[in-house]
Amino acid sequence: MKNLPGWFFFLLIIVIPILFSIVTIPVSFHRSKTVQFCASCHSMTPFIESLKDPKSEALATKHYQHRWVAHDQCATCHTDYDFLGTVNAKWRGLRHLAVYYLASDGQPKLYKPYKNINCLQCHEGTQAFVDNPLHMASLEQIQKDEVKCLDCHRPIHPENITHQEPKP
Amino acid sequence: MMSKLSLAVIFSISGTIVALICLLHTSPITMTAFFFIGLPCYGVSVALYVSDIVSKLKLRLRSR
Repeated sequence: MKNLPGWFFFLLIIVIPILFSIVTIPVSFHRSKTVQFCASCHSMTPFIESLKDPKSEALATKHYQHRWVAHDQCATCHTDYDFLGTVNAKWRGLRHLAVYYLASDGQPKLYKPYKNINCLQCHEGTQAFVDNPLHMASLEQIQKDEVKCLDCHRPIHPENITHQEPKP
Repeated sequence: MMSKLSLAVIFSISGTIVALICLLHTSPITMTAFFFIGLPCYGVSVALYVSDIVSKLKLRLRSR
């Protein structure tokens, strides 16, 4: 070890770790948004199978099958669109992992009420949204999450899948 | 007793192996392993390396 040049240790201990970190962090973040990544936990299997079920009338299924969400369908709807939305999504992913291995039932669930912003980021301002008088009459309440999109637009995932709605 | 440099090399290699596993097969477990094992290994490796350099510099300064 003593006979090795100094630059070798600099390369091995500083340069290579920096390079690997620069590559691994964005690549893993990118891959963690794919449906396949979510499907890698078997507790998500009912949700993933329901996305591909041609008979399902659930909104998530329709968004997936019609490619109304082009790709990364799970992450697109389950990432809060605020300043630290993607970071919070990653923290929730870690919480999912802890619950999966440590909790008694290990079932996936929402930890807080689903935010309207996840729907509005695509639907607000569209012609169909604007043409609906109910939307325009309560637009401010919808934007403030006082009226939930999910109150009227259900089911998101099939009702027979265990899916506990968190209390506000 | 292993030298600081040897330990730094071992930690760096360990972190790199974890990073490679995460890159080859990105899953919740490998991603968590990278962020909670791989990156800390890198951090410890750098700390040991810097500590080794500082101690060697101090020895050189004292010998003068």
